[in-house]
Amino acid sequence: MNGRIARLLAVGVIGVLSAMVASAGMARTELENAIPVTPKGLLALAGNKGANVQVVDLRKLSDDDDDVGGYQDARVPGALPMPDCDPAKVPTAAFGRIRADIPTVLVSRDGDAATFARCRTAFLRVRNLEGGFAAWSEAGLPEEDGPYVAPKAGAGGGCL
Amino acid sequence: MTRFEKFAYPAIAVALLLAWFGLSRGNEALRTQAPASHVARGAR
Repeated sequence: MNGRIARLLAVGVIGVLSAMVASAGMARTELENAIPVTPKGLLALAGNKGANVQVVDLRKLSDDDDDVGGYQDARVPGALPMPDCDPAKVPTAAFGRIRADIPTVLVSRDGDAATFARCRTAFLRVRNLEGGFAAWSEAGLPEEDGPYVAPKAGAGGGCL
Repeated sequence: MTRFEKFAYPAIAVALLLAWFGLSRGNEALRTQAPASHVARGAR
């Protein structure tokens, strides 16, 4: 076979295979985003240093009318506040710490699918906490409260 | 084609094929866990 034709053929085959891999990779991301993480699953992720997951809490900062409460009443340790998924409502201390490019778990009051769907576009790889903070609390998992305090330099970001 | 190309192109193709195969199998496993709406979208 002519060398030039063989080369073109090989490059063509590699191009098609690359497209197939890219397509399967995008499908993987979409599927991963669709599967909620359970509270215990999130706790396991927290123990995995290599996972580098950021937790973003979408609840109001404080909510006395709700039995689950707001971000400052109780939250997943290390969670970053982003009330109503509105960047304008992020407290000054947390401003700039929420990143769109790292794997993210969104925490709402009860894991509401509509809230997740509204906010997921702000992140590249994002999963919903199944049952929201209500489920986390019900499972008796560790919590922290009070206003968000940025970690000191060298202590890591807002990731678990 | 050079001797290098005769080796490199098939090697790249096999690597890509294996990557695609691995991703596809993983996706199938994930579809069993994903909500029905996403499974339908992935099947289209």
